Amino acid sequence: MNFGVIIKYWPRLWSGLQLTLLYSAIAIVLAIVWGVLIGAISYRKPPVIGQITRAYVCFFRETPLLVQLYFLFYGVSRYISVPAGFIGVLALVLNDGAFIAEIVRGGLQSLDPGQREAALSLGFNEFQTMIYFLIPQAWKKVLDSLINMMSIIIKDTSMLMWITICELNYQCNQVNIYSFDPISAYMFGAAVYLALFLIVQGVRRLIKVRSNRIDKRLNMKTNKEEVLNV
Amino acid sequence: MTWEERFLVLKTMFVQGMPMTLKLIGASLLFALLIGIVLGTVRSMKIPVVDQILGAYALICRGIPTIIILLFFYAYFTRGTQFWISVLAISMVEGAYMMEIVKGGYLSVDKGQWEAADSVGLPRLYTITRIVLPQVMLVIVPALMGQIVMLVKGTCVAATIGCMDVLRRAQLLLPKYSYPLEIYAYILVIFFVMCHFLTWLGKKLERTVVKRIIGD
Repeated sequence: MNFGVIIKYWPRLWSGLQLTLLYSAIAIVLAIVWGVLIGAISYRKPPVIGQITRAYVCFFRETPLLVQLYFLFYGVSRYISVPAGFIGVLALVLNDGAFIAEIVRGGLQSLDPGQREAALSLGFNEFQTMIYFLIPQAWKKVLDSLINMMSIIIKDTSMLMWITICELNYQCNQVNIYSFDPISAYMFGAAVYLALFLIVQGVRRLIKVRSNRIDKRLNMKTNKEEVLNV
Repeated sequence: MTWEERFLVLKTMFVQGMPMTLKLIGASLLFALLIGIVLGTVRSMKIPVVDQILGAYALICRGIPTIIILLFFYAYFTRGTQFWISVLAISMVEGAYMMEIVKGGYLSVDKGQWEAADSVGLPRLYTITRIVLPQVMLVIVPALMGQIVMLVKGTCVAATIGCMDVLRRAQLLLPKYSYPLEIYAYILVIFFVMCHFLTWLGKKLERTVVKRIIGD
């Protein structure tokens, strides 16, 4: 590995890294919002919209992201003029949102149906029940999978290279073209992606440890209450 | 687009592109399964140094996008066709995922199962084929089928380095028949049909495995 190459083309790589982080952040936030929305709808299964969301989730989970990007970028933007960045974020949100929707739906289904009935019997409507009772409980269960999805979204942003967005992978490719040094160029990119992956996994582990500790404390408390009640 | 053109486009994609895509899927699947099953078995034995090396391999393949590995191989290897480079990159990455799945399957079998089989005097081969493997299959078949769907979806990145699969053929048709929306929609449908068939097959297989092993 030749560090001279990296130092020489540092401005390029740095701007690429910034774009990767920017697109990852936007896509992660929007994909989680979209995924929770779709997951809640497909959990409730309203007559027509439920069918549509099911078809959407099924279709977007079983087609490649690359083809979706090409379809949206070269197909749709031929008729409507939209910037590449918008299309890139849209494709990432639609694709990964479908995966997140399945995770959220699974989390909601694993809840006790009594929770929903109790909330409804207290006079909350369907929407309030979802927002105040079901989603917060499901959120705790699916958080681990959601953080895993975050690292997948960060990896998926590397596909945006093919729709003319100059993110990290594109810049690594350019550095290789300028310097004829594939090892330094791609190893740098790979190391950065690996570092991002490790950071996300570290956060995941931290949250796991913390939630385990809280669970233990809650369990102890409930045990104590039981003992006192007896 | 007239019907005649549409027919020509579809014919070109299916006759020239599909065999390459299917070959790509077949070869990647073969090597990925081979890597997954062999290395997963090795990993479940927990040999000191080998285990760390395989752990690093799994981490690298899970943390780095496939596309960067593919581009690196394409730039680094001066020999070999695009087809074999794609197969190498895809099967390396997917093999790492399958290795983890197979390892998880082996580790899910309790040690007491072995001991119980030994204590009633079953031969070793019988223990493996009738006691341990069915339990492993029960865990890994659903996960493995999901991973195979990911592999089929993943093979389309081979088009970006010029492997003449169905996506690349479609891209080459675009200058002549300039209807990107329709042509890419065909590709989406082709991949959707393949993956949906595999998902359906996976569900069916899962049911069969559960029925054979656990009973109704």
